[in-house]
Amino acid sequence: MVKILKLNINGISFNIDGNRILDNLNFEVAEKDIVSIIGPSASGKSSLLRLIAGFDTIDSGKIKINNIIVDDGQTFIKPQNRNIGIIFQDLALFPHLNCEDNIAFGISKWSKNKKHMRLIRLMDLLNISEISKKFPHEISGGQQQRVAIARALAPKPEMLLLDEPFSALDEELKEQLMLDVKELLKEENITSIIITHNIKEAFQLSDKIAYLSEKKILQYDIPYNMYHKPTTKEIANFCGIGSFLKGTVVDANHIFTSLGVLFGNTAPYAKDEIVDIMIRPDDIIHDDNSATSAKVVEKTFHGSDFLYKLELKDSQNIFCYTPSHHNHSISEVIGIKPQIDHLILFKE
Amino acid sequence: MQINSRNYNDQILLFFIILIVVIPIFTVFIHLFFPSTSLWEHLADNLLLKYLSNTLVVLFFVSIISSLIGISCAWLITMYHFPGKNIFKWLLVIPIAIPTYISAYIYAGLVEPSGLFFDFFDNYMDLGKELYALVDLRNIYGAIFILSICLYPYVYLLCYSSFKEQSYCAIEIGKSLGLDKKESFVRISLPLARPGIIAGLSLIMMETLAEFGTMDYYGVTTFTTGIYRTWFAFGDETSAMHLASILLTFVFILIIIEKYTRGKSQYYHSSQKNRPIKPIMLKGKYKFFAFTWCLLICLLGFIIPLAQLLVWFVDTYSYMFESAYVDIIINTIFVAGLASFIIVSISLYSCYINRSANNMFTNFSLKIFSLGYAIPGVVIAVGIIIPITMVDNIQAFLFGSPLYYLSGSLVALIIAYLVRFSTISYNATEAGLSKIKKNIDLTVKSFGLSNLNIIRKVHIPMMKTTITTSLILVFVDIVKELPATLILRPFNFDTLAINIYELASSEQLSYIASPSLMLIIIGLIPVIILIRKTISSGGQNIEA
Amino acid sequence: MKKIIATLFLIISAFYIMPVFAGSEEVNIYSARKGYLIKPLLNAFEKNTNIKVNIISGKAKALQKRIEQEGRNTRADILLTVDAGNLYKAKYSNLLMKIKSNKLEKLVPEYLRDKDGYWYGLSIRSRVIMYNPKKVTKKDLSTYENLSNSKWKGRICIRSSSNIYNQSLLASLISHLGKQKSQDWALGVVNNFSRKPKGNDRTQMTSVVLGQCDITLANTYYLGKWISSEKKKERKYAKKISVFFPNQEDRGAHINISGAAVVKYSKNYKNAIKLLEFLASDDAQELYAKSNHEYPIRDNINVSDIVQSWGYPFKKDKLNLEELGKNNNLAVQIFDKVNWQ
Repeated sequence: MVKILKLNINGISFNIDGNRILDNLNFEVAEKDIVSIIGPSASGKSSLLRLIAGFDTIDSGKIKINNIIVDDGQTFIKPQNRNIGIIFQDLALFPHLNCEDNIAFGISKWSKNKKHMRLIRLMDLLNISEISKKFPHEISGGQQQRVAIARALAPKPEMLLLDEPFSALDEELKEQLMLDVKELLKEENITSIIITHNIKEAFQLSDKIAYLSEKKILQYDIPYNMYHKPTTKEIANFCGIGSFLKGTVVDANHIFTSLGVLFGNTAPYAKDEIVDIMIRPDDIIHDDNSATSAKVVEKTFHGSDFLYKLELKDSQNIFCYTPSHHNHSISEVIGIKPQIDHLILFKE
Repeated sequence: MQINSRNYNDQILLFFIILIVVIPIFTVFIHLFFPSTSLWEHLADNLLLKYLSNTLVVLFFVSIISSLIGISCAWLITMYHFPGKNIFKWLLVIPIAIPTYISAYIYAGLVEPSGLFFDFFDNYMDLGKELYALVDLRNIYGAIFILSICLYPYVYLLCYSSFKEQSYCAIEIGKSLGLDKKESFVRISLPLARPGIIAGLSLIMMETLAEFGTMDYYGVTTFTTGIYRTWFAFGDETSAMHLASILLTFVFILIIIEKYTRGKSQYYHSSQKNRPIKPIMLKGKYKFFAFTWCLLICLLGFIIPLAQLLVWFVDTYSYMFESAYVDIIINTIFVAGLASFIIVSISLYSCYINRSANNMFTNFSLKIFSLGYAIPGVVIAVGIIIPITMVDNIQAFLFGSPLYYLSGSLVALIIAYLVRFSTISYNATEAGLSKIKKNIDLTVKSFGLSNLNIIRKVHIPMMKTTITTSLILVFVDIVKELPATLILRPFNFDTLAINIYELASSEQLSYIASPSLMLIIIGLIPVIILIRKTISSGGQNIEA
Repeated sequence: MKKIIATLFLIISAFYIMPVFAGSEEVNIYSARKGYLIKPLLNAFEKNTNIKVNIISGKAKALQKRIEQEGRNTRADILLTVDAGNLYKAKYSNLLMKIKSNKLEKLVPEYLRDKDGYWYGLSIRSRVIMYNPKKVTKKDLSTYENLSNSKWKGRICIRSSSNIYNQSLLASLISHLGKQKSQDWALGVVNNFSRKPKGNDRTQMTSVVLGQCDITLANTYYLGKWISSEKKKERKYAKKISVFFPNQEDRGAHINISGAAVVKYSKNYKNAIKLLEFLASDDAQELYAKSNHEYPIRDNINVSDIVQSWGYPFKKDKLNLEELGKNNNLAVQIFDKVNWQ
């Protein structure tokens, strides 16, 4: 099924004070999708969001929403008229209004009935009905976050932009809130773009993830592929713990490493080429019966599992997850076995 | 002086100091229990209504006009770029340096013979008479004008800092929710600035309630002039006190309102990331309008008054060198210096006691200090005379005839200053002292320094700026003070303010130039301090 | 703690430093009239009698309040003030000493002094009609009472009722016309105001010159000050205003005094009496009156040329000046009732 594009960004460039922040960037978001934008800090993620919202203008290129040009250097639709909801990291709830009035702020022109219905629905979905009459300073961080989301969603925006919405909350709150928010966004069929530096959040919430770095979107894919098939080392590192192992290409299906010969597609690399192979901790299994072994150099307890950093005979390091009842000490040598689905290869 | 003093002696002394502040209020209200004199009936029938209506009318209009000026200027300066904006930013604060009564005298004199406007119209267009007949400021409208143009900076400053502090995020969110510029101002910026506006307005209203010089000169019968007249012209203490108690009730209502809104305002400070406002460049007629508006306010606020003073100065500067005048300057400096020294010492002492003991009593007593600022000078003065005279009579009875009465000396006057101005010093010292975290005391103690040395080697160096600022602020306010000084000063002891008042009263307006310029220059010092403070703190924390 | 109390004590005692008593004879004047006006006279007195004269000036009300507060320990010997109303108040506030001096009784006419001997007038001023000769002729003017006539509607400027000169004028009217008629008069004048009262006598005179009104009531010496002013403008204006003595056909123009009294707790009252007698004497009277463009208390003394030019002598209302003080409270109440601000 062909998905309709909500947002279509074509070759945009954006400068701040003469510095180029985004360069010939392309990006598109399908209707009803939740997309995360991740990447190193100060890579221009917030700028991209602001351009979509209309708080800044592009220097070249085209932005289209619902196939209507909102910014192409000549035409420009003001933020007030784009109907895009936005949630900033510091929330900016209006301190002089209670929660209810905050949420209703953007729909003040609706009929009383409609407004009331919308309020009830949103507050229900976000579990904030009891605090409707309270003021922002009287509620917790998590509740404030929910109010901010409700406020942004109230006018049924075309899109919802969220800039690090959960970064200020502690773990426990985050879990529950993210579930609620995802459910809400899906129910409301709101196309959303979330900026986050937390890869777990991105994995949990998104339909697709875009990696923004060096002024461009380097990879745009479903979370599974971002983790298992990153296109650059940078992305690989960002999306999870891993290490790179040197390998020599044997043929189109085999590659030789210090873990032995691994199977998988080695294209487009040629025979005898030396490449870096990405090894995730879940690619290595602890197996005392294996011929290959490695020495434990670091050990981190995660409750249900251990993350071991292992040193191979040729001094390369790899990571390994094991269920935590396999408690080995540092310097112990343990047997390991690679269990790799497909090869992720990078140039050296 | 011990820092960790659980010494009750200190708190008892604090109690007596607080007692002094409370006495004027107490004296005023105790007279409510005295029987009304026949004069009171006369007052109540003929004048009370006028006092009430004049006071309310002035309060109302001054509030509106000064808010309009303050808010509009603050908004223009924070949100837009236009020619001269960076200079206007600070120029708009300057009217605070000019005492209201001086402004009143100058504006009245502008349209009278030997005033700038009058001379201009008379000499060049022979329209002097017409101008004189046409423009009459010496009435309630003139008073409203003067007070608005002199006091608007309070609202301006507080609004400026509020608008500047507002995270631009709030405005962008407003945009994303569909608000246009006007709605954004009315529904977001203005409500967020509301605590600042109310704080500024309550200051303005307190100053208005306490205003004496302008009302006296412009013939506006209000409570302050009524109290003065009843006291002096009729010698009727009880009736004067009755009037004072009504005035104080107004004041207390204001204080309650102000404290209530202040409570809410602490939640109005934005949280973490503040995106600063990007001023928008104004074009075309808007640019012209913004520039002209600010220029107009500056003209009215201080440029025209200063110009008039300078012209008068040229005519009368020789007056400055008369010996009587030198005495006046010496008197002014002496009493202001002595009083500010005493006041700052007392407030420092009180701060320390509160810091170490920190119980309900000490906390409460310091709130009492802030009450003093709100009490009009006239009321403090009449509230002090009676107890002081009582004390004099007691000591005359006990000790025979002492050499010199309290009431004849500066003691009464200094006590009045203490009541009225200690809060300024107190706020500054408290703010400064709170920056010295208690843990510093403990850490330094662990290095073995004695209490006294802690004060000497750690606190005083850290508090130097605070103490200096306090001294300056109190000194300047005392120099400008008029009504209490008028009533309580010892015989033949005139200050600059008194001199200006008397010159104006005897219609020798042009002679006020020299003393007024001196006062204004002195008055500029705290304004400059205030401006610098605002720059360094990036627009936060404006305490009057 | 003790140190603090000690310091406070020292500070308070510092305020009790009193100037050393002068060893020699002296007399202290608390004066509402500017000191420099009579300095030459005082110097002459000192020379003749070897009594040092100290003079401190202030506003009339402040002086009185001051003497009240000082009580037994006042340093004042003489209260020199303006307006009989003030002297009356001082007497009935128990601030003055009754003195018996044959000289003073001879030198000061009866109607210009307190019958009980508490205070004595030293110079006379009159509150007269000053008018714009271009708009008003002498024929239009007659009496004070006439001012309430509606023909003057919108043509009168007068200063505030808070001023004692106006209060004394109204007090004299109360004595002559009775309470009701005086109140009617006041109301009539208020209805004729061209504007609300503001400023002092000089302001009213300026308004007349500038055409804001046609007539006003002011004390004679103000015009004298204008005529002899260093300011060109004031001299120019002086030429544009004229003086008219009201009620010359009946009781005479309202007059008032500057006068003096010995303070009740005076320490040097003998010297004080001597000084008063001096000031009332022929030698002193001419200079005393001339110095402020006023009239002496006896007709045989010369007046200044300026004063002479307005017409002298003129018929004076010889109402006993005590009346001015007696009716003062009533006058103020009437002013309030008719809203004469």
